[in-house]
Amino acid sequence: MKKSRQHVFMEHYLVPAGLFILNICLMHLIYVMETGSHYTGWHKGMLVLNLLLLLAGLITKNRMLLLFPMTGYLLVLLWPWL
Amino acid sequence: MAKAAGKTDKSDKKLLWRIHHWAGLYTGILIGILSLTGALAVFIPEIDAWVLRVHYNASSSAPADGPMHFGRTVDSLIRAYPDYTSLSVSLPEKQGHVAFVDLAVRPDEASFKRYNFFVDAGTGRLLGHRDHQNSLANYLRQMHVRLYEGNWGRQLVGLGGIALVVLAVTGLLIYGNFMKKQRWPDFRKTANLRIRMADWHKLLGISALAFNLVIAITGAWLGLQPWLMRWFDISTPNTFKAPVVMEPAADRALSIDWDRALMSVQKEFPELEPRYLVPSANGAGIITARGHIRGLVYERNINTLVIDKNGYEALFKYDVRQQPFSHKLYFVQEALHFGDFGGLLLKSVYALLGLVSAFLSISGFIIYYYRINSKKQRKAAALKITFIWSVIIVLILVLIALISLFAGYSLAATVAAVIVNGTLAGLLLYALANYIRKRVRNTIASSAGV
Repeated sequence: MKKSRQHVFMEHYLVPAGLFILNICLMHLIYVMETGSHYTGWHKGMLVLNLLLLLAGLITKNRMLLLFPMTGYLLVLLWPWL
Repeated sequence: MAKAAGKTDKSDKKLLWRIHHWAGLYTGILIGILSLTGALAVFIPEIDAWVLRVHYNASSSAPADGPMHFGRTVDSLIRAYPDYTSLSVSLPEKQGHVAFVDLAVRPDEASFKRYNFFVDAGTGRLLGHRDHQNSLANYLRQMHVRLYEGNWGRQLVGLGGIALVVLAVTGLLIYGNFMKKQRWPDFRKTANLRIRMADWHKLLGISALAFNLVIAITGAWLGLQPWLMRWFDISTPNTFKAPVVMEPAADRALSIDWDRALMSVQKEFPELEPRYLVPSANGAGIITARGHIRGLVYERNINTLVIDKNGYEALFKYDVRQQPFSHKLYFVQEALHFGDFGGLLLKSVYALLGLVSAFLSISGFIIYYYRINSKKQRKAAALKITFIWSVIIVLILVLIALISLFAGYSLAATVAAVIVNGTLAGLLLYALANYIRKRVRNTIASSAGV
């Protein structure tokens, strides 16, 4: 029962959310790399790290590896307003 | 109680599935065409530059950061067409690209001609001209933006955008129900085409969901923009109207020092990368410079500087960074829709994901076809039918492209209008006939029962 609930949470909620953020993060990273000079090394590094962790999380289906970069990317995205 | 809640949840899912099913069935072809043309449309500037280089043998010898020479050619064109109604100079964006002089003339009330001259910005030499309306770039844009149909093609495309929003949202909501114990990105082990297509449909659909939502929302806005702006009383931002201070003929006759005009733009708006210089022809005595600010995700050429033709002093400046949120929201739509903010790599990702959307409409049709036909009828093979329909659609797109390139925009638009409106009328008549047939059958059945 517990295993089934974990599967549903991972496959029906976390994976779609991770893929959703992966789409946006990928576009964001390409945009930042193209217009590079406006962004700091930290900003670029965080984007690359979040993208790689998201990919790793999707492949390994590790809950923390998905939740951490999803939150991390949202922070990078909202950073100018925080 | 729990049983009742479960039942409601199930019926909600069924309703969502039905909405997904019907929206996909009725708009699948439209979404497929828009995805395919959109995947090409993101490369319009690159395709146009390639056509110019290969077909017209037109390229520029201007160095990357050197001065541009086009003034003398523009002056000679003005002398050749003194009664022009509008003129704009489009500056090269990349090294090797030519400068364009777009000139419209109306020799009499009945006729209108628009020339697109290309100039080597290094030497200032006129290299040739074409009718921009009949170009491949214009075909790609018009086909994607309005299906080449001038009356309400744009609104039809907007409705396609709304349908894609509905499909993406309902698809997300029913995703879990259809995945059950399946893991992303696993495929079920089977040779059954329907199951294989269903797996591809689910996995690609969820993987490209965010992209599809962005494309759908911005596409719906861009397509329905004329209606929405009228209904909600939205005015176009960045409209500057200079007062008319002289006769139109005197305005056109004013000599322009283009180098000085560009220097003034550089001084007043240093971040602006000017792409268009438009001198007035109505008596306002101004030059409008439009361009892009590097690093911003907004529609191209929306930043503006208006200068006086006599003293080259700034009269009006529109810097999108300093505008309210509503202006920014208005001008972000096109850049997000066409992926015009991250260079060629981003455009390639957009094109790839656009093709994924086209595949989703095809795989959706195959799943539908399997569902409605019994095993016996299915021998016609869903793939064969899908292939035939896809070839027919591609042939129609190529036919309109050829007419547009070799016979002209007007004839191509007429053919497109006949095909689009004819198909719509046919679909409506078919649906109406089906409805009447069902009603008659029900009436006969119920009277027989009585």
